[in-house]
Amino acid sequence: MAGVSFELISDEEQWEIFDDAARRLLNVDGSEFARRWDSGEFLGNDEPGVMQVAILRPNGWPQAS
Amino acid sequence: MAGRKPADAFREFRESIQEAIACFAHTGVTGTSQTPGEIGILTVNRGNPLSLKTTGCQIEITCSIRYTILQTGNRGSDNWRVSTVSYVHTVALDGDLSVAFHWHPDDGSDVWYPHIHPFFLGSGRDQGGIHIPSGRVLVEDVLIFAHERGAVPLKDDWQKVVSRIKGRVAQKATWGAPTSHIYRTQPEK
Repeated sequence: MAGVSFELISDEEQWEIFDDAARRLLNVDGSEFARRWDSGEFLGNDEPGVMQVAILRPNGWPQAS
Repeated sequence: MAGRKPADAFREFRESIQEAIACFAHTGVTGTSQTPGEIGILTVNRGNPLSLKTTGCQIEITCSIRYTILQTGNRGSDNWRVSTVSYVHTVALDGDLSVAFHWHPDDGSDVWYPHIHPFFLGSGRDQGGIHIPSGRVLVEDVLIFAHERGAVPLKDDWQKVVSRIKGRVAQKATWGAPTSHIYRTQPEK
């Protein structure tokens, strides 16, 4: 597709995307976000930054990096 | 988006998004799965804000979709289809206002329906808690909104392209895909 490429990426590469977003938007790393998400800290919290990170979580997460 | 095989359905899904985004920017799209039953994640610009060429104010968009590939039970060319599980799209304008388009019914939120967050950045008016109910918002709708706010298309026929994709999605979607065209005449098939 001219101008817009496509790449099928691994869950590990998706973790990097997720981790980058967590650092950029919430100033935490992906592992910390995953821990807090799993503890229920974000339950009922769908602030744009939180959901922008959460939607990027890879399969099989959390995984320590 | 549907296909004879899972990979065909996924190709149609991601190529539609590539084609729409290409009307406004050069970037990359990633996906994590074309295996039926798995949750895949599609991102534009690897989840980073994508700056669009504009007539004035700075415009950045993000588009992320969780999806799965399902068997339809139909034979033939629509035996498999890609189903959206959730989406989060944003349009940020001049660093002042961010509009977030959300649908994430399985992520623990009480707001399970599609909604819009107006989010005033840096003004002390954090309106992220507002949920304006909406219809389903496609990547194409994000681009229409960005254009309305000043994004400059790279292709003269962008409305035709976006309308054609929206029409195709509307034909095959199982819920909420808008059928309205923005092109004033019916696009070519």
